Amino acid sequence: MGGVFHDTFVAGLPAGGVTTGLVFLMVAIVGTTIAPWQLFFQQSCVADKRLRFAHLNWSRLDTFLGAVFTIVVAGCMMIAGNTSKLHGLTFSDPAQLAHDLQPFAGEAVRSGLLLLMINAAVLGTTAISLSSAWAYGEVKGWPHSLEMPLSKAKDFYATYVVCVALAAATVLIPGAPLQLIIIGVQVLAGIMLPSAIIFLQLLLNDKQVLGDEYVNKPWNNWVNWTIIIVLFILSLILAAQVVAPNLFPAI
Amino acid sequence: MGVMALLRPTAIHSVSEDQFVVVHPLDDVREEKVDTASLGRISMTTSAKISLMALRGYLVFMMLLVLYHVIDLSGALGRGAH
Repeated sequence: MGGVFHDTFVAGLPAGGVTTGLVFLMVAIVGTTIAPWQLFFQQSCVADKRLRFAHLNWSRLDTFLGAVFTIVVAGCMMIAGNTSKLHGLTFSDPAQLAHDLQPFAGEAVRSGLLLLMINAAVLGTTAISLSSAWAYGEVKGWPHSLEMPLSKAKDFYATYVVCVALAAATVLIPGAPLQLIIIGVQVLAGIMLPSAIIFLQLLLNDKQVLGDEYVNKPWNNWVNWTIIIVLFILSLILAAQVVAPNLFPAI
Repeated sequence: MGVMALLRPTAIHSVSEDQFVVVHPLDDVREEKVDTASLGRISMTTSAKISLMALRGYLVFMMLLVLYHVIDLSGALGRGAH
């Protein structure tokens, strides 16, 4: 427990040093934690629910609680993965991890992990496809709202269904390297994230659009630019390592 | 008052003061926001334009690089995975 607490606040490198695989995974973790699609999802969700300025504080609290919950769950998954590694278990999917951990961690951990996986699956199925359908509907100028009946927003719902079907079809491809596909998509999200935040930054610093009250405060800009710079650095390290795999010697 | 009676459309003036009215978002009056269409195109300095061009190049390069790396890791290129 002490080790978990220490490593939560003090970053360190795993044995082997800065390898291509490690940077690949770091970009993937950041890319899936602050995913670019979430920026579009959040905006579309607020617009779809017709939230008002009066709801801003509640909306922020909603986002904050969601972010905290996500990080706590991600931390628990990392601890579960580490426990598995310490006991010499090898697993290829989280369901197997949950079953293998049961003798050490008990039934509650097994059920909890499986429930979290179902939660992640539902989130992936609904939120990402919905975000795509909202964004595409916005670009094409279609009526795009979950508040609308199917008859009034056919193209929007059709796009939603196609996105879900495409994702399901990809998973069902026989012998598809699903873990690699998942991490590849997460890395793609990680390298696209700085670009998305830069455009968001341009918008959030535009006084004409947001007015003095809602325009970004200095601390907002500090946080956003830190994320952008860190991700750019990680992306560049990744690019350098893919081009020259032995750039950083193993420690 | 029964539940079904509450669900029926009700004229706002016929609701007594000790009751709340839930207004469907699509039936609600729109909140006035800044008309972004009238603002025209966002003004950008030359350095901002150059930065965005560089960003476009970065995105294309990195997407191709990640695609290459994922294909390489899958073993499709016939080399051992790193």
